Amino acid sequence: MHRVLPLAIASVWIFHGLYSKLLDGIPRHRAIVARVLGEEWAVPATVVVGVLEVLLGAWVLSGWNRRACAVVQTLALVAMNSIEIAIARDLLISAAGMLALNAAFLAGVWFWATRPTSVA
Amino acid sequence: MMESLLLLLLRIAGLGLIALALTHVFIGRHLRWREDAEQLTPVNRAIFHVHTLFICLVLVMMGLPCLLEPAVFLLPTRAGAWLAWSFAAFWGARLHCQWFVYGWELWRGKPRETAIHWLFTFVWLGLTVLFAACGCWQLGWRA
Repeated sequence: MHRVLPLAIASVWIFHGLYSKLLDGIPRHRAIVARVLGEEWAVPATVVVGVLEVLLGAWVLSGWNRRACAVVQTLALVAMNSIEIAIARDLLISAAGMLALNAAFLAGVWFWATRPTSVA
Repeated sequence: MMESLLLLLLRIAGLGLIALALTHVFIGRHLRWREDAEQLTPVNRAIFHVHTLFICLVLVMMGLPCLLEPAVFLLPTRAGAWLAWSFAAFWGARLHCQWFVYGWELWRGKPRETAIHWLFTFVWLGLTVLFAACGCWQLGWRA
């Protein structure tokens, strides 16, 4: 579990950063960014967010300062989900489903971050 | 304009990657890899040599399309996107290793090693940015 959990958490970030955004594998991500920031900024902003998500995944894998890492992940998800629901709700498959899934994800993140024994 | 600059940089990178593969002959000789590898168990010695050979193969095979057909990195295709972003991640990971896996005591206070460390930092960063720029270009980002 202590080895699988960070792998699972990092995979989610790296998948959505690398595949969904940088590789444009799920164009819905770019459409949401376009709705929020406008078409002109959609591609650059999606690339920046994608790179940051990959780096966040790498941070999880590194095991360095897990609590700070959990705080950043929580803030990132709360910010992104709030903006999505406020501005691009019709582009989401299910707002409630997304919140439930991300709540479970964050529970996993905090379980990983607060465990006393550390094996990255 | 931007496109021809990226194509030129890709050709230079291709040439550099192939040169880097060939340089392994001299690096290995200088750092006495063969003698040091003698200390390993036979299986680990064989793995070390095979891994080194395959790193050189990867460098040549990464370098050849950059040198001979750089446009494949700019065409917006699924294959091109995978190529550009995975190469960017590859060199980004190498840059991370340069700073956080190789210990600083290996180069600090040694002028030649410090120079090589900064040269590699520049090269890995350049390759990361170049391939990421190709990925951005494919997505239609023309900054």
